Amino acid sequence: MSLTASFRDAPIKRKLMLIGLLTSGLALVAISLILTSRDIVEWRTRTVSELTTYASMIGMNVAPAMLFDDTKAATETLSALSANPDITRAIVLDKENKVFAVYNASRHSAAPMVRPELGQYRFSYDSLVISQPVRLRNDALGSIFLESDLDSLYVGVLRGTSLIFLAALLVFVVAASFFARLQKAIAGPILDLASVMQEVSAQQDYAARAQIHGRDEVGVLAGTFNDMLERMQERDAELALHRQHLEDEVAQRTADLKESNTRLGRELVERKRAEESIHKLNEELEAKVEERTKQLMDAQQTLVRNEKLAVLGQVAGSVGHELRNPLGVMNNAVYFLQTVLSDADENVKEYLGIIKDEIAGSERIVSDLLDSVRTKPPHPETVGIREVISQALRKCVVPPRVILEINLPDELPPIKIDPMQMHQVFRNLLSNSIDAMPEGGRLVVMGACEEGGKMVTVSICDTGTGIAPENLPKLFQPLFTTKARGIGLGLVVVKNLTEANAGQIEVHSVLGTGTTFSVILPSGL
Amino acid sequence: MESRVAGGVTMHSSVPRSAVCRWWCGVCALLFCAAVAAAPTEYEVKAAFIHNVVKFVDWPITPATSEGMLRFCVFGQEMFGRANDALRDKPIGNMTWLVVAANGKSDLRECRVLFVSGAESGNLKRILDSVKGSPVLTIGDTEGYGELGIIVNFYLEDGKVRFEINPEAAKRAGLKMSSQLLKLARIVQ
Repeated sequence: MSLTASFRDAPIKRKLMLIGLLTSGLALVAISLILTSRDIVEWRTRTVSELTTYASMIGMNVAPAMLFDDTKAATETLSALSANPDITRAIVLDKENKVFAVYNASRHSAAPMVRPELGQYRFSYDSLVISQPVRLRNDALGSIFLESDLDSLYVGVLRGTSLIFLAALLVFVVAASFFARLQKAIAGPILDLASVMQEVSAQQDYAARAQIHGRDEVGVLAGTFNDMLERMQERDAELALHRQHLEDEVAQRTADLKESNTRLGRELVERKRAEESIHKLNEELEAKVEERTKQLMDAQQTLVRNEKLAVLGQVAGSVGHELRNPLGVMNNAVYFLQTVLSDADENVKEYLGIIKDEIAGSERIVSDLLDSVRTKPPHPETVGIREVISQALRKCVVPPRVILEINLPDELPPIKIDPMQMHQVFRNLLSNSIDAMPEGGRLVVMGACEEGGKMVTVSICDTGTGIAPENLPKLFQPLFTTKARGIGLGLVVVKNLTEANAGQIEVHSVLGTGTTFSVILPSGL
Repeated sequence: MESRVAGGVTMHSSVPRSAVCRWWCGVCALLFCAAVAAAPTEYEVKAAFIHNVVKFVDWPITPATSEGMLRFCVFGQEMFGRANDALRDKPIGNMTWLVVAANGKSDLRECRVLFVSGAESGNLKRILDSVKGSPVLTIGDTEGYGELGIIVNFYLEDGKVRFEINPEAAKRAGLKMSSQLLKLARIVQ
């Protein structure tokens, strides 16, 4: 961290102390330096002046001795210099610059003495040499050189300097102690204020107040801070009040919301239930619509079919009617030929038989065609069922591979039907059953009494190929057939004739096992 | 060690052998010089001493002393000779020397300085009596003169001229001798 940054972050107390001590310290050091340099200059000047005085005095005293050429006396005079321990050497020269007298203190430098110009002095690092003329009443007699070491100068300067610095140190210590006390007057209130601020900031305690120490800037600051705290406290209280109010309101709203939520939940459940019922109704409706649509479509189909059949009936009726006459003529002609050619060979007889059979087949087709398009109103008679079945069987050719069983109980009541129409019904059914068993099987004709003798059921069962389930609904539609030879009108005629005789027809079939046609007819009782 | 040679030149005797030749050349040169400018004689030195001593003596103010002359009376045998001329050329302040030969008939009290030669030892008492009470600086160069009342008496010591002073006699004559002079002199009673 730089010095300036560390000073910036230092506590104010330390800053004040630092500023005060630095200022006073620098001032004291400056004063000490000035005093010391003045001391040094003064000591130098004094030393020069003292040595000059010595030189003058010694010169004066040695002058007579020089005058009378008395070296001994001069030397004696010079020896008086031993009184001053600083003076290390003295030399007296005569007019011709010859050495007249010499003085050497017990300690003196071995180096030759430097001799400055007359009346001058020369300082070296450890000595001062001064030269003075020796005169007597304006007569120049020679010169004197005095050498003084500077130990006492140094000691004096050192002592003076130490004293100055000691005094400066003392003053500094006193100033520091004064400053330490005085800075409290400035730093104390600021520290108080700062601690209160920290307390307020840390604990959010706006009841705290800064102590006001005086009316200076810090006092004003503390006062302003206190005012601010007071305002903050007031606002805090207001805020708390608002918060309480808000909390109450929130609680109220929450309760309201909860209630409406419950209500909504209830409504939702109800709505769900309603939706479910609607859905159910819808489904029912759809089913009904579907059913109706189916019925409508069936009706439409029936209508279309009936329309077609009506047209077809008309065509077939006229065609059938037109064909019946030639067929009758052809039958009569065959009958005549058979009668006429009774003794003809077997081939002719056989062919004639074939022609007769085919004419009978064509007549049946024509009558089926006519019956299917326009059912003639029945002429009911009460007849026995056995008789009807026998009549029907007489028209059918049962091949030897088919085992025929007739199981008609004797107690079966007679039925009230048009015998001609019912012959055709049973003949068609029996013919179909025989056709369904090309590999042979059992053909069973059963009779049963139903609803207390009101209805009689005649069932014709075979063990044939059976009917595919998808073909069951189309069974009674005109022109629907699975046979190679057939025009799809047999069962239509069966249904039309049965229903015309107030009966019903039912089919039960298992593919590959066999089929049962049940004709329910009203009894003749 | 230093030795003073006539002519006032100081020579060093401990010279390196390599410089012996130069030393002899120096000696020859000095001898030649001495022959040209002769070394000062004893009385020339004494005359110079008298001249210097006078500088350290204060005379009481009298009509005789106030005149611009320094009357130097030589009693008895004239020994100074050429030295007198040297004195005459060296005035002290505004006073000039006047060398006078004196005898028994002279009024010695007019003299400022009275030199009594050794030959006059028999007359010494009478001479001194004649200047008694007068500010006359009496000078001699004979042993015992100091004790007899001569104020400044020269003697030789180690070949050098020295002097003794009788302060009592100076006091009686009313002369003030400088303490600096007294410091250099041998004091006699």
